[in-house]
Parts: sequence; structure tokens; C-alpha cells
Amino acid sequence: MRLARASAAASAIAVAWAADLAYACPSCASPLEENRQAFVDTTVFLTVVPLMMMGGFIWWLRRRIRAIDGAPEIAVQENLLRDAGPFSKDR
Amino acid sequence: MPDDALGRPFGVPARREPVLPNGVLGMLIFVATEVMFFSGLISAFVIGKSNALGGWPPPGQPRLPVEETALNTVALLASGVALYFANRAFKNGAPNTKRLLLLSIALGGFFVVFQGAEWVALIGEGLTLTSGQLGGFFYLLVGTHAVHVAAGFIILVYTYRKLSHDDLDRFTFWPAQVFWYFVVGVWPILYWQVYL
Repeated sequence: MRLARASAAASAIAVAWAADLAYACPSCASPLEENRQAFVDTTVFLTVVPLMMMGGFIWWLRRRIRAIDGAPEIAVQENLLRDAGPFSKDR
Repeated sequence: MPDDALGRPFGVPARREPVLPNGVLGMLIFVATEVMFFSGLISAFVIGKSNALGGWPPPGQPRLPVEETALNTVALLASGVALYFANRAFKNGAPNTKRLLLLSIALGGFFVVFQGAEWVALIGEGLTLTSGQLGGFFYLLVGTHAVHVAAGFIILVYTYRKLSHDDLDRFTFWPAQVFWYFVVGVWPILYWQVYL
């Protein structure tokens, strides 16, 4: 088991070590500075957009669940609340 | 069995509002894929633009109508605002819901028609899908968006029809709004990248 884990870790390190520029990509090795910068910018953009979408959705969902949890579970008609004597809504 | 204040038998659990209606969740997932699709197209355009020798827009190509399209952009944004107020009116049961929704549809329709006229003029000037990098990217990006606007327009007309027949509920209206807000929201980014 330990050997399997060590092998997996060693493989991951080897793969990370071997990673290099992909020369099939027309932008990675471009002599144009503007082109290389555009490649970096779009890589950052395409990485950040899905993370922001997921983060935003989770944040919004959390807010909505809290709002629903805060609402009364049994709906009571407005006129009943108003005529509830000392417990009336307007007091 | 005794009843509660609303006449429901005791012991029957109250129905809670769903956190997210199925229609909205489905539309949000769809819009998320669309966001990534447009992000990919915009990224390809940005890299293509930076790779162009001789500057951008390429020399010898027709200029894009920046000012006219700015007006069209305002129309589309106004359509989104009208839809927002239509939703507010719908929630409050206000009688002007139909009028606001109709305004939103009309502004969306104006955008589509105006863009069609713009395309006819540009094709007349020689900017086609195969005339060069500018034409290829322009029709790909703006054309893809136009298809979405047309689809959103149909969805809004369908929503309006349901509203006219007093058959519209918020579980139908909400997903339609999500899609239209996406269509409206992505356009200024395209305008900024493609036209400016």
C-alpha cells in the first residue's frame, strides 16, 4: 500500500517535472511579445471564469437557503396577523 | 381532525418554497456552458488579433460601424432593464407587466433588425466570412450572439403569450429572464472586444 502511494507520488512529480511548452500551440513559442501576453491573459481568463461562476453560484445558493430557512414554515394570512390582539403584526 | 388557521388539517406538513426551481437550475447550467463557449470564442479572437501582422483591424478591410452599434447596444441594455422592471411588476401583480414585457421584446427585436441591416451593409462593403481574419471572427462572434438573441426573442414572445392568457407563472418567467440577462450581459463584452 505504501509502495503504491510512493509510486503514485513519484509519477506525479515526474509528470510535473517533464511538463514543457507545447510547441503545437501557435502562441506559446511566438516571437511576438503581444501574442505571448494574449496567450497568458486568455489562459488566466479561461481559468478564472468557471471558478467565479461556481463560487458565485454557491454564494447565491447559500444566501437563498438562509433566506428560506428564516421564513416561517407555516404561512399565516395577513388579516389573521393583524387581528391577533397583543400579538398583532402592527404592534 | 381539527384544522389550522388556513383550513388545512393539522399534521399535514407545509409545502416549502423550493430553493431553486428545476427550470432555473437547468437554465443556469445551460448558461454556464454558454459562458464558457463565448469565453473560448473571445479568447480565440484576442489571440488571433494579437497575432495579426500590420495591426488590427487589418489594412484594406471595411471599418466596423462603432457609433451605430453603440446605439444598438443601448437598445439591448434597455431591453434588459425593461425585463427587470417587468419582473418586478409581475411579482407585485401590477397591471403594467404586459407593457414592460412588450417593451423588452420590442427593444430586442430592434437589436436583431438593426444588426441584420448592419450585416447587409458590411457584406456590401466586402466584409464576408471568407474575406479575411476580421470577417471570419466578426461573423463567428457576432453571428453566434445574434442566434442567441433570436432564440431569446422567441422565448420572450412565448412568455408574453402565456402572460396574455393569464397562464404565466414565475417558474416559467424566471428561466426566460436568466437567458435574456445572459444575452444582454455578454453583448457589451463582445462590443468592446470586436468593435472598439
